[in-house]
Amino acid sequence: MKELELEFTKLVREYRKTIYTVCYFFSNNPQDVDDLFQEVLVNLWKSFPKFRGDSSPKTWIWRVSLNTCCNVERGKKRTVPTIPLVIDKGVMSDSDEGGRQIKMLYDRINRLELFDRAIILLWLESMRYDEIAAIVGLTPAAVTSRLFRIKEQLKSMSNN
Amino acid sequence: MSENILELHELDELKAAYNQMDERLDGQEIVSDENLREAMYNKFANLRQTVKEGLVYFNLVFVPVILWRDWSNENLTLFGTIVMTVYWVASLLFRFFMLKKTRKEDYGSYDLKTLTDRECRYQKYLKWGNIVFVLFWAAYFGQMVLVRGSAAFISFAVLFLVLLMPILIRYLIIKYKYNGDAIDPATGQPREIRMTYLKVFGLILLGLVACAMLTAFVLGLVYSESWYDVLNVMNVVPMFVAAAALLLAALHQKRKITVSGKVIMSLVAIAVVLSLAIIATAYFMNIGVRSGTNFLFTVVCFSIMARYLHKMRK
Repeated sequence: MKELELEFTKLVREYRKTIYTVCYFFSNNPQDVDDLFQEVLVNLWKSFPKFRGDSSPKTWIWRVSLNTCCNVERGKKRTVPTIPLVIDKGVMSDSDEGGRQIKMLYDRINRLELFDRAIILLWLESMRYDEIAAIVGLTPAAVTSRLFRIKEQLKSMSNN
Repeated sequence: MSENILELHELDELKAAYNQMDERLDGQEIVSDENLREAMYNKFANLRQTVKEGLVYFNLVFVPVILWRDWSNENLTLFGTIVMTVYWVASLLFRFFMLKKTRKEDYGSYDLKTLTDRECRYQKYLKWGNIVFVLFWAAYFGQMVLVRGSAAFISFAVLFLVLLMPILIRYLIIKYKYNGDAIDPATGQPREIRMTYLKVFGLILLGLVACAMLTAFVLGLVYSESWYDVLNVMNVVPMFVAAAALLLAALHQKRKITVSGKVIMSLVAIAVVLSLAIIATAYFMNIGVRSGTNFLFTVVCFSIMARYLHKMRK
């Protein structure tokens, strides 16, 4: 058990940035990020004993994070209490050009449907289309056409 | 990968922003080892408990006791027996076929589409479960009214009205104080009803309790040939208080209002003490003790459920 916990802690530490990114783009406000992060941690821990390395740890982390965030945001159900995250809150503020760019990205992605949000995040992560297809459960061809539509939608959005 | 590179120029602004975010998150701790350990050892225990699961377990224990109690008091028709037995079996099936599956849900094995389909199916089943819950209990109370007559109908009607009170108070506060806006724009959460309003509810409830007891006393003196009827009416009062505690706890759990544990425990304590006092009076007067113990049983059940629901808020 101790060994499993150590492995889990190591994995979470390695991919905490990925988990945070998914939670950030699926949250409606900063408080929600902490909640979602905790939900993802719970589901990662639940799934961890069954993770046999069939896919890469990165794909597995993305799969669990997206499944959790979509599910929580769809049902708006909270199943676990929140732990506060140790992150500099100024990181995502829009006080400089970089921050404003991130805010613009957040605003646009946040206006997409949950399923489309998952696909575009995987694309932004530079994943291959077959990897995206395996995570979201579509064929690579369907991912291609859906991505085309999402990109058109994103381009048509104004910054406001 | 080649497909991605070909399209990068179209949305390079978004890509740049994403990379910017990635860079900013570099070097951020995000989750400390202490938080991670806390989550693993303490918070995951919450996974074992969900409100629905708790209610199903409660049904599995509560329904046989009700059946036994009503059968021994000759308050159960054949229809009522069938209804509650079917309900109990349905709860059992729900526990083993639905909740067991949802608990074992592995988010690492399913793709997003499969998980979404499964969740939609579960939500549909849960909605049917809620309808079954309401229908079976309505049928049970219906047959109870047929067995006990109009007195039981009045009891249930008053109980229903008391249960509606917190909803009515919340509705009035939101309508007149917040112009019908139930969501607090500052937090994005449902508005919390302040302690002042809960005190108003408490005072109204206490007033109703006092009126009900006084009415029972006067009616008993004027119309009844024995004190048995007086105690019978008085027995209903603590049940109302416990039911109100249960409803407040349910609204608290659903995040419709915020009620402190002290309020719930105070209401529960009032209900139990009142019920015990009535039983003690009946014992010394040597009348209607059994009726009192039946009501005490209901009060205790409502109280346990209220405490459980209050604790289940996340």
